[in-house]
Amino acid sequence: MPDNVRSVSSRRVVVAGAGLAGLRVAETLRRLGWEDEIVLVGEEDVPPYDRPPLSKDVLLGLRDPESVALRPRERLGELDLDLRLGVRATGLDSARRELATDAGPVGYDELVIATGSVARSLPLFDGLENAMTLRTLDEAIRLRDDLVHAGHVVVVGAGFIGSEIASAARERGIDVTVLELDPVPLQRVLGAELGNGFAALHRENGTDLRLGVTVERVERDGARAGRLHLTDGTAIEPDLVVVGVGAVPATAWLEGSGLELGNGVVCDDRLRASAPGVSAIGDVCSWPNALFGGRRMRVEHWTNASEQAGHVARGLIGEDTGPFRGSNFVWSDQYGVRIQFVGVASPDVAAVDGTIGSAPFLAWYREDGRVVGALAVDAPKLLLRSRKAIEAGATWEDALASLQD
Amino acid sequence: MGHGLRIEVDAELCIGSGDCERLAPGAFELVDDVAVVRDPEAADEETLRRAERSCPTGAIRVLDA
Repeated sequence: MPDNVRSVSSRRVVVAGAGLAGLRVAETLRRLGWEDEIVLVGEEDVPPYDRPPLSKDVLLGLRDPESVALRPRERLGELDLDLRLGVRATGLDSARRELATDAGPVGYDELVIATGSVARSLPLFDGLENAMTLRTLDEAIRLRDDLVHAGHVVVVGAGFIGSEIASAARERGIDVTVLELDPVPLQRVLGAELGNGFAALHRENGTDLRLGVTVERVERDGARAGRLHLTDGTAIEPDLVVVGVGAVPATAWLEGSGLELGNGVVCDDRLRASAPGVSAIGDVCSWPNALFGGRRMRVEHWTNASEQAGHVARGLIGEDTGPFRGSNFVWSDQYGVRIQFVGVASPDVAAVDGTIGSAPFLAWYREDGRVVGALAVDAPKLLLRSRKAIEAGATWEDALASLQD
Repeated sequence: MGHGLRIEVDAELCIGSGDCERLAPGAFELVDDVAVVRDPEAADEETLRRAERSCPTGAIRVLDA
């Protein structure tokens, strides 16, 4: 059927974005019995792949890049999707229900926006051959190869990704300097008190972690970054610079479409965007989280992408799914230590098991007498109980009691 | 002769990451987004241990027989 003609007897779902969230919508629809057309449009010319291994085992050379595909080709074929890879979403005409792409318009009855986020870059490093961000499979392969010969790497940003890159480089015996603008790593995610424990983790593993500092000026050596001049007056000269300063939602393609945007695609509590027949999920979706009193948030973690995809798919099938409640689980592997976080951070944080700086360790965040967040280091079962307590809206006391069971 | 290792998956902990199935397809299978143990001998010990480590929630345990 031509792309701009839709049958009255069947509905076509178009998914913009072929990452985890996009693929999960398609998988869930098929599993629940959706038999109509599903079009999956993806900018990268590779089948959908899993992102977490890119900053871990792929960098260490322990995993083949092919092995991060979310589904091998044969199993992808089982889904009977109209898969359009290497096709970029360029706009939206919500009145005509057409997704604009660089390969022409694609008509939809239902559109799920799952275009994810894009690594934030620093203009100081634009166009420099030995500076990069890490987000895509291609970038992971390139960084893995660059790490083989690197003697000194500078990582800008001590967030989860920056810290994992630092950890992988250290494991390869490379000198690593991490520059973090905040006084404490992971402050925005974990708060200042717990972030301190992670500063120690870097240093114990030989990483030169510099806090409260960033790059002020880059001396260019042809097309390469040479000496970096830092804001504290010191200078360093790495072979390689990796910028890990977060991501921005991929919504530039929606500018001018009339869809409400603001830190992502603005959605209601059922993940519906401001135009009829349009939803958004995953990194790109801003929604009022019913689990935390309707607090509006946008979450860039794996579990959120997967869960929101399932929620929207069930809604498309006709289930009355209710508001999406997301507990924001995220994990990170740094220097052989497994860090897990769930919920939201708050200023009121306390250790619940173990002491900060040693593993196993569990800390909880409190708001209005309830546990709203948990951080675990090498304590997966405690983290699961914490997650259940948070999802149940448990009071601090009841949650503590549940740990004893 | 196989390695004789057993695998346990805690279904409650599992979030359906699928990494185990991707690393060791004969040993693990995701059914409705939950990992199920199939044939531990389908992968060597090193691969099983990697799957154990890579599980985001620590749901996998590789044990001696």
